[in-house]
Order: sequence, then C-alpha cells, then structure tokens
Amino acid sequence: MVASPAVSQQKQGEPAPAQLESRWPGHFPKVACPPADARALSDSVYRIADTWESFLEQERAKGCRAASLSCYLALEDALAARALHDYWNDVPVVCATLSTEHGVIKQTGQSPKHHSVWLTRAALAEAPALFKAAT
Amino acid sequence: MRFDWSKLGPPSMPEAWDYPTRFDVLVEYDGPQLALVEHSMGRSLALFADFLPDRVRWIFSATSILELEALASGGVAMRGVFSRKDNLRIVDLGARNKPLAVWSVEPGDIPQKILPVRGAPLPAFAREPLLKKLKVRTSFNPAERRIRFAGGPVHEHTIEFAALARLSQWIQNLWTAIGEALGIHEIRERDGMPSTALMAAANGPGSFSIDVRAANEKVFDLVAQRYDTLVGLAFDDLEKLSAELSQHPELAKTFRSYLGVLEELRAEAFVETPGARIYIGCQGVNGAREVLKPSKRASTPRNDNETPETSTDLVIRGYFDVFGVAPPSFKFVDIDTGDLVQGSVAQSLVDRISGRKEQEAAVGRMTRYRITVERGPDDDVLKGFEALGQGNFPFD
Repeated sequence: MVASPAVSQQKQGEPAPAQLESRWPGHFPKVACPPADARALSDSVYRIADTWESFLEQERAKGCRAASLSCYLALEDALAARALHDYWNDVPVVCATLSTEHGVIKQTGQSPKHHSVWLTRAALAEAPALFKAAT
Repeated sequence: MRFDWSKLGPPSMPEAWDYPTRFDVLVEYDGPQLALVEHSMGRSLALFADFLPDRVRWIFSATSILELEALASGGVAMRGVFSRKDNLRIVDLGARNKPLAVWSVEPGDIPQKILPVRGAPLPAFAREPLLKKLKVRTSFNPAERRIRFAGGPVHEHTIEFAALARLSQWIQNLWTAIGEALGIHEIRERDGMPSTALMAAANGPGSFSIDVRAANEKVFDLVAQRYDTLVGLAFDDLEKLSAELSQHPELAKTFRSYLGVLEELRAEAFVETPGARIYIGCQGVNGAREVLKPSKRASTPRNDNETPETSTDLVIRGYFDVFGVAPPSFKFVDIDTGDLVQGSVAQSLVDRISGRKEQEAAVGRMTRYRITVERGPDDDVLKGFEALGQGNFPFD
C-alpha cells in the first residue's frame, strides 16, 4: 500500500500534521480525508469540465469520497465517458499535469479506469485555470 | 435537478420493485453513470438521468444477454439500448438504492440530451468488465461469420423449429433482396449457388447461434455492410431509410417483413462478420415498418400467378387470427409481412359460408390460407379464402 501523503510529507520533515490539514479545503471531512491509501499526484489527469463542485459541496453525498472529483488518466477514456450523455458533448475535456503540491489521487469505484482526485485548497481554487482544454 | 420532469405523470406503484439484487457500475464519473442492474423485474441497463434532493433518477432499459454482448462488442451503440425500445422505465432510487418511484415511458418521453451521444460505443474500458459480469464465453473466432438469435422463441440453447425456419427464411430473403439491390445477386458460385446464399454450419450454446457458411464471403460482408446501414437508419433516421429504399421496393418490402418477423417472434438477431457487429432487437421497429409500408393503392398481388379480381385486390398468405372468419369482421396475419390485416367480410362471402360455423371455415393458427382482400381507403374487405394446408410456409 502507498503511504498516505500526510505520512509521506511528515517523513520529509515538513510541514507538521496540523499545518498539513490546512492544505485541504474547509469542506473536506476533518477525519481521514483524503484517505490514507491515496497516493501523491504525479499524473496528467483528465476531467469532463461539467463542474468543479464535488458531491459534498453539491450536498449530493457525504463522506470523504464525496469531497473528491472524478477523473481519468487517459484522454481516450475521458472522451469515451463523455459520450454517455449528449449534454456532456458540449462540455470540454480538460487536462492538467499535477504533482504532489496539487493533492492526492486514488482509483475508486467498480470501473477500473475511474479515479478520484482530492485537490488541495490552492489547487481547487485555481482549477479552472490549472486545467486546459484537451481537445 | 438538471432537467424538467414536469411531464411525468404520477408514478406507478414501486411495490413490485424490490432492492436491486445486483448493481454493477460500468461507467462512473461524478457518481455511477451506467450500470448493469438485476432486480425483481429482470435485467436492465441503467443510465443516470438526474439528481433530486433525496434520490437519484435512472433510466432503465430491459436488456437481454445478447443485446449486452452486442453492446460490449460494438454491435449496438449505447444510445441504441435506450432509444430502440418500445418502452423504458424511469426509476427513482433512494438511499442504498431503494426503489422509490417507477414510471413506464416511451423513449421520446425522456429528455433526449440525457441519452448517450448518437453512435457512441460503450467505452473500451467497460467492455471487458461487462463480458466478465455476463460470464460470456468468447470462443467465437472473429474472422468467422455468425448469426445469432435470441428472444422469444429461443430457450437457452434451443429454438423452436418453426421459429428457426421463419427467422432463417427471412434473413435469407433479406440477404437476397440486398444482393439484388446492390446488383450482385446474379453472381453465381461455381456450383451454381447464388452468391448471397447462406448455410447453417453448426450451433453453439447460449443464445441460439448459427455459424454461417457464406456461398461467397466477400458478398456476405458487402451485404452485411448494407444491412448495418439499414438497421442503423431504421432506428435513427426514418426519413433517410424511406428515401434510400424508395428505389428498391422489393428490398423495402423484405426488410419490413424481416422487422415484422422479429417483432412477432419477439426475437433478436446479431450478425457478426470480421468487419462488423450488427445487433437488432424486436422493439422499436414500428416506426421503420410504418415508413416502409406500401401505400394501399400501390399494392400489388404477392403471388405473380394470381390474377386479382380488381386492381385493388390483394392476395395474401397467412392465417386467421384466433377465431377465424367471424362475420362481419375478420383478422388475418400476413405471413409474408407479419402485418395484421383486418376489416369487414364481403356479403357474398358471408352468404357462401352462412351454413358453416366460422370455426370450420377458417380455424386455428396452424391452417394457412390464401385470401383475397379488396383494399379500400377506409376498409379492407375479405372477398374469399382458400385453405393451403397446415404448418409453415413454404409448402405450396
């Protein structure tokens, strides 16, 4: 299992756990979120830029996973998923190359290509600019 | 809530709906979007439709294993699973997927923007997981050609002989008609067999399957390509279908009959070639059958040997529906097209059979008749009938 980003960061000796918590948006659950088995980001991630609000913010679900945003790691997977709804067809697929400073990622759900990304407070605020149109 | 659902009437009672016994997510993005669901009413492919404060709204399309296999192999697009149906269900699921409300709707009743993009296949990453969930054995050599049937007359790995005869007869008829329209039917193989001839080579378990030996494989693939186009247009572009077939009335008639046989038998067909996978179900074909319907005045006798009594007389082969001739009306199933022909009985015929019980005149679905019908703008009038024999055509 990959160590939690919090633990990884602690091993490097900076910053302290209390400070780390503040990396994450205020609406994230206070306990065990992001999950310990999420790994640090070092990926190009693709999103259907329908919304930047998580389920938690939309009050559609509760819990840590609801605080994440869905993404795929390959453009063709994101484009194929976008075809699921005609109304998504007008929404661009966007991409960003993200690293540790932007947050953590984990494969989630039954669909093997589906991932959840927990963006840091700063990355989430910049997300619309951070992600560029991929198509 | 993203869409306007105000046109939905009151839901039907969801009591008959228990919690789904399986809910396998195939595609997920900001929540499950496409799922294979097994529930008390059967197996459905479910598409996320909308989110309401205490529930998630789904569109359920009842599907067969064959249709799902076709979906997994690109033989039918995602949208086709939802738009090529006579009816769908809108299902509201609450916490832990508890069914809260169910509506029975037609595909046209749902906001079309919710449906998948036209022609889009199931994402590649979802295909293998779907086949795995279906426990499908993929022993088929993709270089081979295969026609598979499922639905009404197919039970596990058997099929009723009568249904097999009709399905194989009509797919051969269609293959021949497409070959004729393409101008390639006259090509003969070395043994004199038409190049469009199909032969059954073997069968396999699961949905009833026939491995096809084509008289000419290149011709088979060419015809299959055209068949693919026709099947696509039958659901997605009726105007174009009508225009395309207006120059080929025989093909139009045969294709219409083929759709009618699928509908009547509640059967599905899946044609597989090295270059194409083409699935068609028994639902949603009415639109195509309607646009391909020959106009009444333009009708011609089906049997070239028959001379119509008047220019508007039709000679039709088939069987009387359920109770036979029961003056003053009749119902007759046209075995060549699958159409139900109904109308009044001519007084002269009523007089002729007046001494006989109608059951003796035309009884049961196994007795085949040739009837003469005068087609009028308002009514079809049965003028005569002649028993041909028992069982299935062709026997005359």
